[in-house]
Amino acid sequence: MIENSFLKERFFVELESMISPNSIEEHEGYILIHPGTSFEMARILYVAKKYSVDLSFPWGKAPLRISPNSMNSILKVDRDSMTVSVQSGMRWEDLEHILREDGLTVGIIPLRRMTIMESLVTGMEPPGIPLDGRSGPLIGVGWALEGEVVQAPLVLQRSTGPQWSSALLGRGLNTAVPVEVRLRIWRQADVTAVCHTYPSAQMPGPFIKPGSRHASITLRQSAGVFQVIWLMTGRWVHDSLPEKCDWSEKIWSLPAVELSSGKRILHKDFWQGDNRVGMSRMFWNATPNSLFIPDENEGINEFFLRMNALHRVF
Amino acid sequence: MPFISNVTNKMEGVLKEKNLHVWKADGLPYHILRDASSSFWWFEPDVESEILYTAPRNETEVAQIIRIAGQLGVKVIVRGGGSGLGGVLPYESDVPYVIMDLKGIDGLLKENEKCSLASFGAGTLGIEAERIMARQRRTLGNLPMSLAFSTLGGWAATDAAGHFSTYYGRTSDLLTSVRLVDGRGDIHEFSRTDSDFHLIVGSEGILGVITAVELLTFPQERFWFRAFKVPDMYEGLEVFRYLTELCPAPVLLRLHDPLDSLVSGILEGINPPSSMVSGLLAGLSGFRNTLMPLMLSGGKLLTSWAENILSGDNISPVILLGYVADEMPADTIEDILRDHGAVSLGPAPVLRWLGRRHDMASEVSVYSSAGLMIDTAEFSVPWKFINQVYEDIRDVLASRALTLVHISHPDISGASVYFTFVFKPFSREEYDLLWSDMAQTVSRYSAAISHHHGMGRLKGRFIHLEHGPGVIHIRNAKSRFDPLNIMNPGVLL
Repeated sequence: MIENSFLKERFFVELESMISPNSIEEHEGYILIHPGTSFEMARILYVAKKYSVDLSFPWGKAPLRISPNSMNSILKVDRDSMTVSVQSGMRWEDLEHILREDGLTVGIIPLRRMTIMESLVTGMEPPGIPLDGRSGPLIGVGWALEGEVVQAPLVLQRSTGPQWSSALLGRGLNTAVPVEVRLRIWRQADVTAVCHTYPSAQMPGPFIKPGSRHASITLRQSAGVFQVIWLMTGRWVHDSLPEKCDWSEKIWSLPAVELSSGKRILHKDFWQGDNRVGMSRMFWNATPNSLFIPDENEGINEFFLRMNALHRVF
Repeated sequence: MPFISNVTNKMEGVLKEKNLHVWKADGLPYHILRDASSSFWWFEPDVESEILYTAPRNETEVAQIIRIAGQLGVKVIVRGGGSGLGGVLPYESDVPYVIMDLKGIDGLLKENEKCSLASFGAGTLGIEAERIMARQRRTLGNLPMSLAFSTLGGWAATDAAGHFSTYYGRTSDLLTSVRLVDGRGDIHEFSRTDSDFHLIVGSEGILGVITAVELLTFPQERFWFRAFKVPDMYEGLEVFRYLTELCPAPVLLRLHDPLDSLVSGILEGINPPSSMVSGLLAGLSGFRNTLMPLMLSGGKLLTSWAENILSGDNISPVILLGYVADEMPADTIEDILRDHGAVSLGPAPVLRWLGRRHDMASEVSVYSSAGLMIDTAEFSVPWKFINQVYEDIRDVLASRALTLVHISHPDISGASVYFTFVFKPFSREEYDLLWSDMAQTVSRYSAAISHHHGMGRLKGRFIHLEHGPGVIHIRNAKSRFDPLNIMNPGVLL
């Protein structure tokens, strides 16, 4: 951690002067901190930077580890804007639980157990479209930046200028930490799940068009056919939906098939070679240009197998 | 001037056909010296200064020119189609600079039909790219008013949004990768999975020169269109938001206030004016040459008076709406809008607007020939504050300009509130103060200074109001990609 004992002492003194001592745990080889506010997080960043100490989450290996679990309050539900502001230490599924009690939803299939902060810092996202993409729910992020907190407009379609906030996503804890997020929410009744079945993976569906608002998409293979499950945000006002699914009570509590590791890749890279060509068209809209897969080394069959577990919710 | 000669000699060595020009500032062709922003009426070039102009033909030449510019301390001003409204040109400075025109790097580079992707040189004009795609019955989906004047590289540099952005998305949604020559002359390719992609798109040339772009392509669709009259702007905005949240999304969705509906000609032949004032407003030449200067002299009082007369003439806000033909039945939408108190005007107003929407240059010249200036401000505003921004900015402009407003480009978080304001030229100080007042006003509502026109040099000075201390990340990117600070000086930062 810090080799020089004088500096180490100074580091501890400074840390304890800024953070509630009750929030600091000393362990063999590392310190675990439970910041409770955005400003505490910003102060931790400041001290860590000053003494060149690396940061990680508790499951990481850095000498200074951050547990985001104490930052788990809903700050504001704004029914006028249909947004929720929340501390990023909240877990996706807990947020969905609370919203559903009021008939609201973020309209995504939440990652289980993972906090919003962890998913933004590691670049992992709930299955479906990118959080900060065109139909993604992420409207704004408050960043802790070495001693100060910045509220950043994030949604790409909203303004010109370099989207530095998007560029920080997935970049680890050392530069900046997302401490608050503002998410678009929907009335549960306005989120529709649709299943489409195709005889082969080559068949694009009628809803795979730019105008369909896909908050989430998953794919499964069953009995030789391919099914695409869409969660669509927005009111349907005509009856042309072929196969609605009852998702309201089930889909958010998916069994443990969440994408436990992975990365976003461009579909054009994913669909190079063999028999994958054509499938890309099933994804270009849901993730405008990219596709989230469990692991870049896993093949398409493995991907389908993982998605198979979704059977249990329909 | 030995310095210019030195630069010229070095640059000519790397350029084919010696396409490097040196002009006395007052001899520069108008279309090269300025961009589309008419806000530089005060600009009088220093007739003694010399300006370099170059049009590289490929990425290698771009890189070489930038390296030489860096060695000699010459600034580089990047020029695309010249349709920008952020004010990148003219560049008023004593520091020598070269205008780098990218229109020589154009054309289709590669097409990947299986993945619905196409790569173009950054200097390709939008209209040319659409012509190329149309041969295969496809489209890029980004169709801005400036389609004939703007380049694909310019779209990426400003994250431009076309009229159908509600359906297809804006440029950052459509891009899959960009190629960049940075301020050191190094060449990069960023795909959207790279963090730096999000810094390059929208960076308005301050980090380097975008030389090629790869975009999604879409099959051409058939659309249906309707216009609807709504009782007032507040009712109109409610319907507008309701439509935004329907699924599937509309292709076109715009809400024009009464004055904008009338002056833009949307209502031509639909709603014959019954009073002289409305008649003059609807007759464009009469409006521009007589009534508008009069209203500008009278300030807010006369504008309100005209609006009252419009109200008496039953001139209402208008919603322009369009859908992909087989995605949403027209009668379903008509029923919904009727329930909201809207009255259908049929497809004609939309078709008329679509037919005229690319006439940007002639619009500007008509105003300027009447001794008037026209400028635009388009703020990105959260849903909750659109009404306030509509009212407050009209107040800011009221005593100085006549204001037409439309609301467009809706998304899940808000929309663009677009002010077109016409004014008699006043001093630069007053103009700067006007923009400062508008920027301060919208910053109270978490709005962004520019939705899709770019910030350039005119609005870049307000970037701290929008990004706060986060500007440090833009500065860091600038230091990383352009350590010598030669690219588009004064833009954004």
